[in-house]
Amino acid sequence: MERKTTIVKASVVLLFLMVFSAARAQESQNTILNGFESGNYTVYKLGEKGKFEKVGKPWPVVITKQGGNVSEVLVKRSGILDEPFAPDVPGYPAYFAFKDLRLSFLNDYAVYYEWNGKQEATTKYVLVKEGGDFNLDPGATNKLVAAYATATFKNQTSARDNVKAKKAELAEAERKANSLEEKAVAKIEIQLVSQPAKVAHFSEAIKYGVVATLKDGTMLKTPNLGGKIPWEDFELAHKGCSNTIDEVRVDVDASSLTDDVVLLQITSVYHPSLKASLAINTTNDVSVQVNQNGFWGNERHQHMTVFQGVDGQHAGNGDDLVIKVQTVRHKKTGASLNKIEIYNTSKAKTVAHYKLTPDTPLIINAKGGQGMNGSKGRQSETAGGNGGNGGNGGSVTIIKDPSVASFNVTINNQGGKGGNGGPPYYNTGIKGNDGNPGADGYTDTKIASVNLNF
Amino acid sequence: MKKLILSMALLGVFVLFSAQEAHSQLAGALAGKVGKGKGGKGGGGGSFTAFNDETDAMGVTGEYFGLSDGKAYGLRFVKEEAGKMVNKLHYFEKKGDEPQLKLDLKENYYTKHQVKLFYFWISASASGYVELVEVDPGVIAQIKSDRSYNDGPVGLDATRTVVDVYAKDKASFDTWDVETAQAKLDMLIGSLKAEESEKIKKNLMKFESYGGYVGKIAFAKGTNYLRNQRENEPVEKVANFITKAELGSTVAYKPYFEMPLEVSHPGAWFNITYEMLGETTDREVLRKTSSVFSENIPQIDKDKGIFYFLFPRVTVDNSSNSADYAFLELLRKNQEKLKVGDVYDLKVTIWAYKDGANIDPVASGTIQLEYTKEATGTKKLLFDPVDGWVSKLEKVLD
Repeated sequence: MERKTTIVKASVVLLFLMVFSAARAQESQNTILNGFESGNYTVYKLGEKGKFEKVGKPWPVVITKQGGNVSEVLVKRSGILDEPFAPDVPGYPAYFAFKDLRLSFLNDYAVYYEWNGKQEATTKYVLVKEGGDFNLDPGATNKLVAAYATATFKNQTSARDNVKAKKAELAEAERKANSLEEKAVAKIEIQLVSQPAKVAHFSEAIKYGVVATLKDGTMLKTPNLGGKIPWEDFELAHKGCSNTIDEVRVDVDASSLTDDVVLLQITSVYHPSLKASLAINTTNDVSVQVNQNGFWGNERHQHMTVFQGVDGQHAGNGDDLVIKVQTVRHKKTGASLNKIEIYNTSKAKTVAHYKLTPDTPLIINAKGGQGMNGSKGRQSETAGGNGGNGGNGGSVTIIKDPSVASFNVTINNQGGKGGNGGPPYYNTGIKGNDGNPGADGYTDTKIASVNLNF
Repeated sequence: MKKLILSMALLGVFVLFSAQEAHSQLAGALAGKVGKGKGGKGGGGGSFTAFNDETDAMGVTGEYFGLSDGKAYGLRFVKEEAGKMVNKLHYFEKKGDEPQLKLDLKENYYTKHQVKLFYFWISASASGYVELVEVDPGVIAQIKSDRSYNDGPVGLDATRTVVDVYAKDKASFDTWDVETAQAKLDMLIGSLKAEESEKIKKNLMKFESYGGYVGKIAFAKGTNYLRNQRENEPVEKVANFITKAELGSTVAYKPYFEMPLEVSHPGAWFNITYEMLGETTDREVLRKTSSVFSENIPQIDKDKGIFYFLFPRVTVDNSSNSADYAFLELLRKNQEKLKVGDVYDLKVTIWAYKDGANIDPVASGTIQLEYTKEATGTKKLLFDPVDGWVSKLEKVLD
């Protein structure tokens, strides 16, 4: 009976505190801290048994105010370690933060806690002001401080907007100081961060920046050249590569490399008459690998609906391809280049347009997939499952224009292996049959007139 | 012959017993201190005043008293043994030449920061770890941790809890209780952590990926191009990074941060925004708009202590049939504006996010996405009535 009364009393106290706290939720820490002063605070820590334990010595707390707002709460942890807590939103703080720790003042005490992304608090200490009262358990304390903080966040809108506006103001001032806007600019130039060794499909990025020379001779640069001009100061119109700041990569489709150059072009947003461009000759010498293999038996379900019993699935065939090649001259250097078009007849689509030097290796993979292994027999079907058949290799036809003197191509179009037969359910049972291997694809080379329009 | 076999067997048992006794003695010494909470008996009780007459390079050697039991213990720093530098702290619970524990000094903590940290592993489990740290001249804190065996002391990110304090002068206990020692320990570990971050960053800058992309986001055709096995070794090849891709195809990305989020923005976690054609989608904002987004856009609270995402993220990944719903929502919003043959800039920004707001961008990058012409291209990938990403999102949102 007595125990019941105690529980009821405790619940009433907690309810009262929650209601009181919700009422205080309208108040920021600036208001609440009017009831607190610097001094020695009695400390309760979360003990190993999950209960609060009183710490031997009180901790000094120094509250600093500036113009009615609390600018800092210095907790001298254990009297020796300075932990300066700063308001989360200065005009309307819900808590004070030091590293990933938070401190919120409520009623007669301050809760020193950790916070997670689920809006939950984990109290580590409670600091009670002189003459103050505290008698909650850790769970109730966590809920109380979380309820206060989340309610207060909702009231922070205008204070947060002020902080945002201040940040934006600073960012704008920084941008303007470094931008070419309202500056007398004589010229702009594109500068490479380093000379690229290869300029080809799949070569490494070409890194570049912009240098602006002001009329007084001052030189300003983009961040990747050690300066601070914002990239937003320039409009990009690159050709033959990605149209991106900082770095570009050569287009994978040779159709956009009509002049065998990568052309970097920029225009000043604030001085539209100022333009700069840089043409970089392609070297067309990075080896390319094209994969048009058949799927493996165990991937068959990704391509069609399958019923999966004990037998392994059959693999897919390698795709049939027609490769047309024509040798032309590099439009800037005069070197020989092979224009290559790869057409996938199985899927009726053009796979690639490349321009490669005759020596640069092109590897074509059109192998049949490997059959799936049969499963172990079941109690109802004791024989092991049959392995799935391997896919056939794709057939590849190479049509060379008479202009082609050299074409460094490797064709891999072997049939895929059959899957292994599955073991029987009982050792004495029958093992499944291995799947049949796929047939190798044929490779045919023809000489015929080819005219590739890219 | 029988006698000989019996003697050999007895000798074997004796040797085995002796070895076990030596080990259990050591374990007992440890249990005496570490296992107090479990009813361990505790050693100590002798007098080690003679230790106070000794001097050593560290200034650690002397007689100490335990805060919890008031008993005396001996600590002796041994720099050299048999002509070899050993840097060990010998711990004595009872008189004799042989210490009950020989703890190792973490040398670079001392040489760089003058932090005197000694450690010993009596077993590979967390309970088998003993650490002693000098928190003030003549005051040593005994620490337990939550980590199992490491080559060296437990990492700086481990939880270290002070379980007892030892002082040469009992009067020091007026100042140095467990709580105070814990506060000082946290401060010392904090300074070591800051140094470690700088050291890691210096090393990371040697990697082409991190050095070239710090503060940026790198994109690739699949997560396999951006993954790596070991922490702080971003060995991915920048040659595999891309700046252009087919709209709707797999695009993986990896941000590289100037500093770990917990250092640059303590208490924050990550958020991601996607921008294209004047529209922006924000993961945290979307999470609050519908149960579909709330379920499919989990909060990103991993990797706050490291310099990049250990596992790359994706806009969409067609091989694993997964996507970031915030990116899909961006496509859904823009679907009327997308045209065959056009190329669009997609800007991805990783934010430090706290208390319902994006605080600062910590990495950003832009990739160009092309609406390809082929029948199996963008149109199929995004708008196929059954499997298209946008179609699938619209179905669940309806």
